[in-house]
Amino acid sequence: MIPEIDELELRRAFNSFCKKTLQNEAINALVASQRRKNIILNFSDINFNEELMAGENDFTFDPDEGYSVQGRKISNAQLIKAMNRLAEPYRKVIEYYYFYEINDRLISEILQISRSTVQSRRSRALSWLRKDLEESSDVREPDT
Amino acid sequence: MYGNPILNKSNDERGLIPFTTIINAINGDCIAMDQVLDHYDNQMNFLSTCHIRNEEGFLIPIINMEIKDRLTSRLVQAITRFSIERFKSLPQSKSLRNEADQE
Repeated sequence: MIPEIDELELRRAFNSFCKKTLQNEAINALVASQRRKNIILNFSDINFNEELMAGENDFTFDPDEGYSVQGRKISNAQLIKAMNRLAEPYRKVIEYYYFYEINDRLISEILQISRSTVQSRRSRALSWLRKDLEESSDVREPDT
Repeated sequence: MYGNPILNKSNDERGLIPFTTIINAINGDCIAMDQVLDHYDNQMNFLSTCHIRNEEGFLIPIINMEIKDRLTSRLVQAITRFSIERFKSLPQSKSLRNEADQE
């Protein structure tokens, strides 16, 4: 099957070949681990300011926080109450349009109604909301 | 060291795998391959050790299994790629060299 080979020579060559491949592969593994070490950053190595820059703080929802519109002060809780008083189809249209910022056409595709009904529902819901909030909100004197 | 007889370096067979297992391993026999991997197990353990420093300041040797798996897979690849064909020309060249030396 195999022509005349010096057996001892082959065995020695095989031994040295295996040892050399193992050493080379060990060097490769060491280089790869060092490269990985250079790329990865630990949290312990980062400054406090850099850590703040990397993350983002979620602010909590404050119901008492308010904003002034045309001399009236409206708080978040009042707005939620007024929104909950609306019927569901009208409330959905306003949610999609003002909170998720979707087009009229996309809303009509989502709710499976025509585009003009979306527009009319939105305007009607806005007028009801305005009426509700005018009754409930406090009139604040304008700052001088 | 003192008790050992003087070694004949041309016939030294220590640390070598038998000829038939080498041929079987190259041809893809799994038992022979296991024997070869067992033979180089200590070498792989030595190459894959990494020293971790203790809380008290002592160095503890630990075998990194990731590197050891990498070494074993590499060794199996290399054994299948080992070519005997280059040894066919070896005895001829050796005899030629001997003749040249004699002349």
